[in-house]
Amino acid sequence: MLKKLLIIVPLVFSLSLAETLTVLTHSSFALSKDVIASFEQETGIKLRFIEGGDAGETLNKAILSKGAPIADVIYGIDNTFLSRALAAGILERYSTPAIAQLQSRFLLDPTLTALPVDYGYVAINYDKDYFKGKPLPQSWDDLAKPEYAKLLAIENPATSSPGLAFLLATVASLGEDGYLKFWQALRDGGVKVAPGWSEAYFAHFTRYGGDRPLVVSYTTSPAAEVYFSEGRYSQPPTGNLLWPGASFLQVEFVGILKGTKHRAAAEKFVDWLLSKPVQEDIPLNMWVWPVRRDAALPDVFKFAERPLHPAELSPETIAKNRERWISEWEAVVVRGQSAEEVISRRK
Amino acid sequence: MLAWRNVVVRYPGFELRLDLEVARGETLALLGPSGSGKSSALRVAAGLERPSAGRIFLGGRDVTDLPPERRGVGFVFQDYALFPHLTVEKNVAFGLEERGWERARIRRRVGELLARMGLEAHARKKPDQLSGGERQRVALARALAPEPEVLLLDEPLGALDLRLRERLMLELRRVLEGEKVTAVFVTHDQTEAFVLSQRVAIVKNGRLMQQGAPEAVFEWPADVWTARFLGHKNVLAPEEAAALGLVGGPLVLLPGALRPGAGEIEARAAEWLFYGPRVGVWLEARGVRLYWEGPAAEAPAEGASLRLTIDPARVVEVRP
Amino acid sequence: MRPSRPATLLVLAFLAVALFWPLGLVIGRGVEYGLSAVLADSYLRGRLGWSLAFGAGSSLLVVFFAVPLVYLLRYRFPGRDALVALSMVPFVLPTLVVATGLLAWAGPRGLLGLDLSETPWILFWGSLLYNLGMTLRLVLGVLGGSGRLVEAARTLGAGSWRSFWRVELPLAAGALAAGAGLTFVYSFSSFGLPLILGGPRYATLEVEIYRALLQRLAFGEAAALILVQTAVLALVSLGYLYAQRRLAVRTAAAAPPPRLGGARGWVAFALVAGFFALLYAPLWTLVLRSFWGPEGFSLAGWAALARPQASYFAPSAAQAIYNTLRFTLLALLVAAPLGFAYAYGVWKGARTLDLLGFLPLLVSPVSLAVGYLLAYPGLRASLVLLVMAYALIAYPLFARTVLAAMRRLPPGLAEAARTLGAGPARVLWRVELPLLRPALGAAAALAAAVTIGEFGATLVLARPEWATLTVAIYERLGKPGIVNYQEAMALAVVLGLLAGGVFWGLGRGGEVG
Repeated sequence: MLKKLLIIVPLVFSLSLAETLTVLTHSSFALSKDVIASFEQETGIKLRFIEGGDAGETLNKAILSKGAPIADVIYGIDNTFLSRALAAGILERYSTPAIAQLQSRFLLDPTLTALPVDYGYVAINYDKDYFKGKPLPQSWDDLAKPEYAKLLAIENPATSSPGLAFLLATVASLGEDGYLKFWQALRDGGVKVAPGWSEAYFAHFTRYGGDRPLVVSYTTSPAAEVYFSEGRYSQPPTGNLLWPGASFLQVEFVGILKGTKHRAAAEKFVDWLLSKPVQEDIPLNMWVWPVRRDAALPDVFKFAERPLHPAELSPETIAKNRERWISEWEAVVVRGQSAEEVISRRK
Repeated sequence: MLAWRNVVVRYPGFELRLDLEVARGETLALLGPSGSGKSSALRVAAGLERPSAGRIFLGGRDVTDLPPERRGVGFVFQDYALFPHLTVEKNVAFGLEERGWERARIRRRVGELLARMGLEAHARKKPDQLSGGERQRVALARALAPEPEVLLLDEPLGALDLRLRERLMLELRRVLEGEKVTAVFVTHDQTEAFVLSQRVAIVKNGRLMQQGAPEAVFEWPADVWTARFLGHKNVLAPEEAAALGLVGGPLVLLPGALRPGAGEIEARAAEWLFYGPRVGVWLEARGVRLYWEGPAAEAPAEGASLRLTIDPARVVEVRP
Repeated sequence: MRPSRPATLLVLAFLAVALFWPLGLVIGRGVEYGLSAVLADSYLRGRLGWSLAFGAGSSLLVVFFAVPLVYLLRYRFPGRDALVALSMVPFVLPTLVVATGLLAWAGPRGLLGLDLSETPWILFWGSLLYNLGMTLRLVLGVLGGSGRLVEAARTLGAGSWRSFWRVELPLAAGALAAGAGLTFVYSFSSFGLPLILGGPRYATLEVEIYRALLQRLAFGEAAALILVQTAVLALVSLGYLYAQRRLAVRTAAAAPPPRLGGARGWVAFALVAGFFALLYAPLWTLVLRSFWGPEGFSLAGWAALARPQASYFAPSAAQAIYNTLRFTLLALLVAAPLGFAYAYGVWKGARTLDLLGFLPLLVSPVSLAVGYLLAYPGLRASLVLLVMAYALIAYPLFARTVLAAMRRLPPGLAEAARTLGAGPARVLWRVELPLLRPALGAAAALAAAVTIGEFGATLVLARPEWATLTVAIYERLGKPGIVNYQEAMALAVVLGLLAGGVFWGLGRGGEVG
């Protein structure tokens, strides 16, 4: 009996001593099981993931628990929220050795507290079957016409990150006043507003029984349609509308949370996340592109388009104006006020 | 007035067969032990259950296919089934409203019944504020209110204590006579049946055993079981009868058959039961236990030996 | 010490930890904003107005449909129990799934052929679909014991419909009010359904709370909104309690409902089943969708259920089912004793406890979620917090069911047992518990349903390895692709079957009261 105890006690201790690293992510984060297992095996660090909702919610939960951080690492801050994260001062600087391998245009935080992991583009998908023999909209002006506005489903920018990205694309392309007039036209034309991507795509998009052949989604969605058809499609049944400025770049960042007691383990995790095998695991799990230059892409990504001219806004501009744009958008689209009324109220 | 014509009610493991008639203004008691099927007979008459075969007639009309609400019978439930959400007067008025009586007439009839039942003080109370006897009277008033042609009562006094029962028994008899209603009630208590009814029908295991006026049924019970059920204590098997020098059997010695004092039969007073005005004495005579009841002055002392005669005019032969 | 005292203390202690403290922290952060600012904002006033209208309208609608259904369902007829069990299934389905079904049925290209989306009607349909079953159960539970009273009414000349109207309905008024009250509470503070189905125009207060707290970190505005919302819900609950006390009548112990034999039984079945087929059509369309791909019949979604877990974050169907059952059981283990203690305390005379038991239903889940984050950062995403959140939501429903049954117990029984030498604890163990067993089963079924339906899960930070069926459905619907869609629909069918099965199995012994 005593002998058994002598064996068990150290065993229990060694188990409890295994370091656990807590990672706060948004709910779309995904990696293959074996990839995560290999990290735990190689480093002896146990990973514990916590999901905090969508990108905005997740960041806000980290900010709310600033004094007593609920995790050691946060993944999933995107460029629309980057400035809020930096201003809140919740991240610690870490210059990872992997930095040399990353595409430098995504290093949006010069202080190196938030490190890019992956990127993607929000754009309008169209149903190829529906538009067979019909002209596609070619510009913002086209889209604002009632015959196209009534075909479009978008996400509410107040509750959805692709929705916000699309709103930002219209601001970047059409300017401070122009974007509101555009949205007023969409509203009058009968645009459908869904609270989130799942509702827009699976409830309103014509491919899934809805009545909208145009939906705000990602430029990788057509590739995912091929991949998840299990061989039924050899060509994507959907396409992207990519006139200049019609898409918006989203970059997702990882950062070490201030106050972590596992700094070394956190660094190992960040390095690993930016390592080649993990970066190559990312596309098929999250349907985004890895930021690492030498990461090979899966075959099906040949159907995923990288727009030449995405809309761009600096994180600072976004941070300064995000709430105003959202509430102006709501005033026009939800509450039915006129663009002029909203613009005149700014002064 | 009310007739069961070849009525059959079947349950798993049980069957009631009944062919019986009640005359206008008559009060009939369906007497039987629990499980004899007497309640089913009542429920079938009210339309709460459908017979498997046979017909029910009310005032010459075949009502077998009519639902309860169209039969016009009054029903007093054993647990009274007073509506807990309604006051006493609303309970009594319920059936009158269903029949579409005018307001003033309803008020009059309810007032009249409450007065007769001594319930005026409780008119605005809810049933759960009443005592058992009061509830019974509300249930009776409610069933009588629409002036039904037939009143059916399921163990109407069963849930009450002895003293209350005696009082209410007389009250019930007065009410039944006053309302001149045809009444059928179910009971397992022969005293209740004898006091209240003009005719008793005895039911056992779903069969009608015997019927007739209370006195007739008591004096000429059809068989051993009925005799015992009606409270006869001196029911003798043929060999016991032979031991006492009587012929035939089984025999029932009616009250008054035993005469202590002189005679051929030697007996011993084994047990003495004091009831107040009367005493009961268990006697042992030639190995047979016999029961005698009478005034204390005439009773043999406990343990005493005595001699007996049996009055042959008070002996009846019954079926085994 | 009165027997209710320990029970009261237990419930109060739990509420202090799980409710008062975290919520107080949230409101405390934003008190300076003030109610006047919210009430001055015409947009927020509009949200309040719509929330009230949605709650009240839903209640009326539920009562309107519940009455004729109860008229039929108070009889026993072939398939009755299955229909009653079925009516509870939507109660547990995730909003997104129900909304998808509603759109597939009554949306722009729906099978109904009538586009109700972005009208209040589709919202009311959804609300009816969610709350009708719960109300039916509440009412049928009370009517279980009224058979003799109906017979009395029948012999007094009231026909089947009249006796229903004059006897059974008044007896069930308390339960009907309870159903209407709960429907108001759930609709008034509902979150997903108005947002998805009605477009942003029909956002409720809870949606605004969510946006203020979790999107903008605007504690001031959120605190004011929470106070407004809680005040309305508290008023409704007080009214509900008052109605319960006024309307409650003691009926006899529950007896089996009278049988409706032969052809009439089948007519009743056809009527109820027909109505359910229409009301729950959105759910049938989901079942269809799980078998239909863009090119017709397809089993791809169901085949995908058998797939092992590929990604660490995409739980396999088996794992999701296992988690769902595990958490349901864990939550029951906490919610059942707690709910029983609460019911026992109220029954034995702790009146103040009566209102306290409602609190968990009155609090916005969003604000509580933030409260947990502020109050218990150390617990983070711990199982303790998860089970606590589940229990907080599940125990009031458990308790109300048991309490109704307790109040129907004859009072003489406990006294009889006391004179036979049993102390309060022994009385509980030997007399009251055995008599309450059917009600306990029904209560457990209801509590299990809200846990399976995961009202509580949103309160806590999720862990991927905890993924339940609901989470798995959301995960599948988070990626494009037909297989993901079909698998999500198949998982929703599994969830519905699971919940219906729990109801049928556990709830058989007794009705909810």
